[in-house]
Amino acid sequence: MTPEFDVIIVGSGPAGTSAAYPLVKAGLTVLMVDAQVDGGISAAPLAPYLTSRTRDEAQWKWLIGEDFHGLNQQEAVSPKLKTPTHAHVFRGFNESNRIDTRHFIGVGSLATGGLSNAWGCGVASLDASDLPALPFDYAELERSYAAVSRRIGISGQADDDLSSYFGLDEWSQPPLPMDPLHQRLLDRYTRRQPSFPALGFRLGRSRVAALSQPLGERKACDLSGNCLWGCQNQALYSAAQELATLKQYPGFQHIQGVLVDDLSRQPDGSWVISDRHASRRVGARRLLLAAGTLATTRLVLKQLNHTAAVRLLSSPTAAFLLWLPSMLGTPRVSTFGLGQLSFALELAAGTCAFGSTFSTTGLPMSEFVSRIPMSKRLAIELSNNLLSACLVGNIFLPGHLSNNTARLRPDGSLSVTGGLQPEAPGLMKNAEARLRRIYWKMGALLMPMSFTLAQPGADIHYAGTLPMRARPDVGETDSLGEVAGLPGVHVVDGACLPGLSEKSHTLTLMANADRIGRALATQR
Amino acid sequence: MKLLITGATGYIGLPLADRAAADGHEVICATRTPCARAHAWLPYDLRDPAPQCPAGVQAFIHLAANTAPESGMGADAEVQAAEALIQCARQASARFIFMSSQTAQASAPTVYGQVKWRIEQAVLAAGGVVIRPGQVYGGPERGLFGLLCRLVRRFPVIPMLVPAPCVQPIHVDDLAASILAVVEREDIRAEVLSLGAVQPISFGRFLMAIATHRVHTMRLPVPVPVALLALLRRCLGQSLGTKLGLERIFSLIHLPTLDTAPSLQKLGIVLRPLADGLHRSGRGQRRQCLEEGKVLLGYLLGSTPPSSLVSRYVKALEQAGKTRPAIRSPLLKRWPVLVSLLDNPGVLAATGGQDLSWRLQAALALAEASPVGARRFLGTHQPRGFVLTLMTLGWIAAKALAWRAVTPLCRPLARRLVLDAGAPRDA
Repeated sequence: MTPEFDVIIVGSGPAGTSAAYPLVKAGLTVLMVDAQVDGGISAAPLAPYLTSRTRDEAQWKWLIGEDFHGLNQQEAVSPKLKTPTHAHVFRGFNESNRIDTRHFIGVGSLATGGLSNAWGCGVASLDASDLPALPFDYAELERSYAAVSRRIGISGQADDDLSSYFGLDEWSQPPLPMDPLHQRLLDRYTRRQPSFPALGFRLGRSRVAALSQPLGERKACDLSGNCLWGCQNQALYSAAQELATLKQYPGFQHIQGVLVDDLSRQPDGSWVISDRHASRRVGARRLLLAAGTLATTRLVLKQLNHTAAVRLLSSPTAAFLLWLPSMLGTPRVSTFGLGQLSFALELAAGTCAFGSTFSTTGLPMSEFVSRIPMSKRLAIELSNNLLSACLVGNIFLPGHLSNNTARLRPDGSLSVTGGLQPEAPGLMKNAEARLRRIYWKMGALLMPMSFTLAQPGADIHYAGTLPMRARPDVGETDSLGEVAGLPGVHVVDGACLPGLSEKSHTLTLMANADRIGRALATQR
Repeated sequence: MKLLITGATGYIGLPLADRAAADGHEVICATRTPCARAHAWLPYDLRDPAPQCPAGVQAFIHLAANTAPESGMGADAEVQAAEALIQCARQASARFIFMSSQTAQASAPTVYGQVKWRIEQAVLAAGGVVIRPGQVYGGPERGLFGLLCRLVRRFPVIPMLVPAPCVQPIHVDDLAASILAVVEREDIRAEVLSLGAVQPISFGRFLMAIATHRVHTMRLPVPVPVALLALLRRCLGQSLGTKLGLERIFSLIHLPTLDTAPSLQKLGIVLRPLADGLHRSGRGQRRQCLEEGKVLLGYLLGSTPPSSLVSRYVKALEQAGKTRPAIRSPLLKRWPVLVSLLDNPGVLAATGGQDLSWRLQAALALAEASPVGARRFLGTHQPRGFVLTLMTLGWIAAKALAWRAVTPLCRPLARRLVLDAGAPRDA
């Protein structure tokens, strides 16, 4: 029996859709499956954030949810995990994919578009030095960076100190306007620019997958400030936006509600996927796994029956609060809710930290109130008076400083244990102290006690469980993500990245998927 | 036990039959109209001869009464009907429990009261138990309670009779529980049990409580001298007065006070507070949760929260499977800012503080997610200037220090503001 498709792609997130384009363009028949069962609610605010907040009596429906979703997620690390408009993005991933975590925050998505439905939109290209021992020519990846960047639309092009660090300006739209606080920060940085290189610090505009100019059906960001809750303009990139375009190719099909649980090899070398109850079985010559690093890892390890622990990379991360005293009493303005300014900080030889700062306006203030060591009533008064002059920041360290493992259990579940390399906490402390000094030079105070190290995995930058190698061993993949021992099964998501730098890795895993897709399209 | 209940479809009978069945009793409803399917039905009318007593009945509970004087049934007939039932019970060697009235007196001003008194004598002579309830209220709006609710709903004023007649309210479910407690107690025989609030309250206050806790409205109390009513009765004459309900009012005025404490103690029944009982849930838990929401949201917002926000808080609690309040104190209701004494790690991080911590966090998120919350949390869009904001920050810091100093001193008070997880809340 000849298989129904040339390629089946498991997962419709950034990796899956990026791999799909070159394949369907080359005329291959492609089936994309994901496990979305309900599309979530569409209660996202229609008016600009501050307008809805002051006027909309029903705002609780999108801030908390009619089923009080937000209240039941009190322990969640990020406000994003609490928004009812994103509930369907995260729901049920670990349970359905049988992933257990210890000291590790494991997040994934069953939804169409995957985690890109609710991402921070941070983009960066990794240069050759970020990816040592790459089993293919870096120029291949560069070509894909260009293709993917143009397709998804990124902004932040600026002739600044981070231009070469991001390496994306060639394909970028102009940056979005900054709020007055970020403007002030950048002004101070520019004025005292000569003193910063010696401190190993570079500041520049954030490069983000948010449109400052329209692209296709999507409109440009109008600074309505609803980034966290759902963008009405679709200015923020989500892989879910790709499906309509992909469906225009005659060879492309997309099915929802398929949770792949098993792969099986047919005598003719083709592969069949089936879900938990084996109620649906489809075959293809090749399988591309893009289910998200954690889910993909389990599928592959289970197929290999590989029970030894594999290393899972993630970026140790922390968050902090910056206060600009000179901006005290400044009114709240509607502004972009994701990263506005980013920094790169050299910590040690070959180890750099990366981070961005955000406006506090689009965030729920209760997030801050519960962290202030005061009674809530006073903490509210404090937030009210102080936070309009504050920014929140995050910082990421390279993935080699993480010490997480993923192990297939005999029952077929994946157990993930989080940890840090011994030097990581010290480097974080160092980063905190230096950032405090550096930001003070820019007139901003890194608030005491605000610098908080997150649990491993909270970054949701997972990678490297099935790394691409020139000569792959068991549990590794070749230059096209093809799993050693499973011919025809390719890992195209974060799982196959051989390394994880401190930079946001989404664009890289998309570019890599595009690269693999291009290569496979010519190998039919 | 097998119980035969007359009047089981009535105001008291309905909850009694349901509760008895829930407690595991077998219930036979002796009523004119068919009862709920859950119980056995024995067609019975006060005007007919006593029914064939089903075998095995261990207790007769006689609730049926002729409340419509125009039915044409005479007082004697009603007494005879009761005597026939007592005879039935005696033959079956079953116990007999009779629902009498606070008005039962040989010289009662109403026929109703006289009839009750005459039946009481027969019951006591046969070794049965007589229950004299005070003002029965709560549950569905039926009977006299239903009439009062409708009146309060309809009229903008509440007559406060001067001098004030008093009532001793008892919730219909508490009365049902008391009757079933009597059923269980073989040792109680040939006795009159008086059941109702130990402290009588004025009838006017009872009506005001209906307005506040049941109808949720404001009603203007208007003093009405009893002498005026007496004059009116004289002018209208006896029959017209009865028609207008004046007689009912006079029977109220002449109500003898019940000494209920010994009976309640004997049965081990604790009556719920009037405000709780008047609430639709009958338990007042939702009301207490609403009060808690008002306190917590008021504390966070620094002003009285909108009622929509308060009920959203209670909905959130219910969604989380929390139906009981965690805090309740007249002090907190008066000064929500006192929640500060609880809102610190000393209380919230201690054992048992988790629940309150969750509630505060929920109230916090809900308070923020409203236009009033946006103003309070996000601040206004108007610039306030550097100096003013700095002064405000200083003031907040001073307040924070003051609370920090006061909190340890107020630990004993703080303990009294929290409800213990195991403590009964209905009392």
